[in-house]
Amino acid sequence: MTFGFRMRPWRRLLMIVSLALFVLFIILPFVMIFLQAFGADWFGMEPLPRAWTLKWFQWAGETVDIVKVLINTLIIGFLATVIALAVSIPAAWAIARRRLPLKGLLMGLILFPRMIPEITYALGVGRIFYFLNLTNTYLGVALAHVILAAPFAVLVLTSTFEGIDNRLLEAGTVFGCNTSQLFLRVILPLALPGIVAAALFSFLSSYNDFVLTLMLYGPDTVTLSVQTFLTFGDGYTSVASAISVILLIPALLFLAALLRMVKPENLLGGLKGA
Amino acid sequence: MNETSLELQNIAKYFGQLAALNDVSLAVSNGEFLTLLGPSGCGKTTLLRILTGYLQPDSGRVIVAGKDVTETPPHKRNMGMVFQSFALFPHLSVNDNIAFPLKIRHVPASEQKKLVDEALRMVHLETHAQSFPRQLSGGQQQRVGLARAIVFRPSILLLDEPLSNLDANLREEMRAEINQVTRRLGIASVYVTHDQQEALALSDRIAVMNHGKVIQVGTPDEIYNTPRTRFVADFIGHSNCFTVRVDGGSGTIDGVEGSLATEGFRDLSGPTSVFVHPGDVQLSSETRQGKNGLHCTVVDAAFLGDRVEYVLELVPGVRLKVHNTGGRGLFSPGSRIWATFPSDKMVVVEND
Repeated sequence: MTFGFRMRPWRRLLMIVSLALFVLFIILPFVMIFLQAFGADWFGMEPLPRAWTLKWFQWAGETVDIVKVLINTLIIGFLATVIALAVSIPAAWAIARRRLPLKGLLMGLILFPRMIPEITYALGVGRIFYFLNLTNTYLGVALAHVILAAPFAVLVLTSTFEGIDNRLLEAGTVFGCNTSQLFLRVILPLALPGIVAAALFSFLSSYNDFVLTLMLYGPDTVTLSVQTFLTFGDGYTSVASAISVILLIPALLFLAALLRMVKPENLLGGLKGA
Repeated sequence: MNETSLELQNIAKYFGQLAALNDVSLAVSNGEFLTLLGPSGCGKTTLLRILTGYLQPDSGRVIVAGKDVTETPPHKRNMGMVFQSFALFPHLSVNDNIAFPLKIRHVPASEQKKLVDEALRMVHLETHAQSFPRQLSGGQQQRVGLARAIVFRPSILLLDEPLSNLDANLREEMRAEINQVTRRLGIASVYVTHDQQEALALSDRIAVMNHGKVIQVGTPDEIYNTPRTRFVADFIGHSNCFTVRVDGGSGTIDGVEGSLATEGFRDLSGPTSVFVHPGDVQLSSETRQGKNGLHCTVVDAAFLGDRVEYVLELVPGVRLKVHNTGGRGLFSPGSRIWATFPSDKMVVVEND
C-alpha cells in the first residue's frame, strides 16, 4: 500500500477546518473586543449587538485622560527602545564578535528575566525601584521595560552582527575608516534590518507590557494597558474594550511595518541582508 | 621611476613556535609589479597582512615611500587592496563602492565624481554605476573591487589572489584588466598568488616563497629559466629535477648508461640536482655514446597535435617530462631511447 501525495477529500476538509479553527481562535478575542467597544448595551447574550455606538469611546474620553495615557505610553515606549538599543547593540557586538569568556553564561543571564514568571521578577524590580524613587517616573517604567526588551534585542542583534562578513570590515579599514567611521559607514548600514527589528520588538515589549508596569506605575505614568485594566476593574467593560481598541491600533501598525521590513520566519535567525 | 615605493626590512613573524615569516626583505620600486608566489602556508598572506597593518611583525620594518609605517594602523597606510572575496559593500551601489575611499578622505564632491567616473571607465563599467554588487557577475564585481582600490591613487596596490574566485574563462580577461590598469597608473603593486601562470603573466618580478622565506626573487624569465633551487623549479610547474653524481665535471646516475656535462658542474662534486625544461630535451632512438646523453625508458607518450608529451624513466622512481615539438614519429611506451640534454640548458639547482 502506498500513500499518494494527493490528499484525500476528507483529509483536505479536516485540514481546512482545523486551519479555520486556528484562525478563529486567534481572531475571535479581537472580534469580541470590537463588538464590545462598538455595540450599544451588548452583554454577549445575543450573537451580535442590536445597535452600534461610539459612546464608549466618548465615555473613555470623558472618564479617562486618554491623550495623556497615550502620550505616557509612547514616551515610555520610546525611552525603553532607545535604552534597550543603547544597551544591546554593544552587548550583542561583544557577544557576536569577540571571544568572551563565559559567553554561554552571559547569554543565559541576559535571557533570564524572560524565563521566569514576569510577576516574580516584577515584585523584585518594584522593590528596588521604590527604594530608588524610580516608581511613577517615565525613566523608571522604561528601565523596567528594558529588562523585557533587551533579551530579544540582544538575540536579534547578535545574529545580525554574526552575519557581518569580517572581510567587509577589513575592506572598510584598508580604505581609510577609523573605528567610528567603520561603525557609521559599514557596520550600521549592514546591520540596519536587525537594528530596526530590535527597535520594533523593544517598542512593542514596552507598549504591551502590563505586569511590570502595574508594579511601578503611578498617577503620572498610567499606560494604555494599565488604564484598560483599571477601567475594567471599575466595571466599565465596554469602555475598557474601547480603550483596548485604541491600544490595538499602534500594535497593528507596527506589525505591518515589521512584516514589510523583515521576513517573519527570519526574525530570530539571520535577517535578510541589505 | 626607480624610486623605491615599498621596502620590507628583515620581517619576522612567529605564531607560537612556528616561524610564519623568517627574515624577509624585499623592495618594490615605483610602478613595479611584484608577485609573492608560493604554496598555501608559505607566509605570503601573513606578509600581506603585515603590509596592510593587520598584523604586527615581531621584528623588522615596513617602509612606504621612505616613511616607516610599521606602527601605523591600517586605516592610515593609504593602501589600495583587491580582495579574493571581492569584499564589496552590499549596501552601496557600484558608484558608491568606488567612491567609498574618497568619501572617507573627504575629497570634494566634484573631484569625487571625476575620479569615480575615470575609474569606472578604466574598468569598463560606466553603464553599471547605479547597479548593486549582487546584480553583477563575479568578473564585474572584481572590476569594481579593482576600481575601488585605485580610485584614490594609493601609494601601493595590494592584490590578494584576486582571480581565484572567478571562473576559469573570466580569469584571463581579469588578468589582462589588472595588467592594463596597473601599467597605466604606474602604481607599485604587490600581488599574492599560488598560481605560477598568473605570476609569470603579470609580474615585473616574482618573489617565490616557501616556509616563511623568500627563496628567489627575479624576473619571470629568470624564475622560469634559471630556478635557483629545486623547490622553485618544482613550483614553477615542472618536476623536471633529478640528481646526478658529479665527479670531475661529469655527472652520472647509478644504473643509467651515459653521462652529462655542463658549466655548472665545474667546481662541484657529489650529488647534484639538475633541472631541465621539458622542451629542451632531445630524444632519439640511436645508440649514442656522445656527451650529455642518458639512456632511458618511455613510460607514457601522448600525442597532442602540436607536440608529443613523454614521460621518461631514468631509474625506477626518477621520471622526467619531455615535450617533443620538432620531429615526427612517436616513441611507444616501453621503448628504450636516448635523451640528450644540451649543456647550456641544464640548470644546477640547490636542494632545499
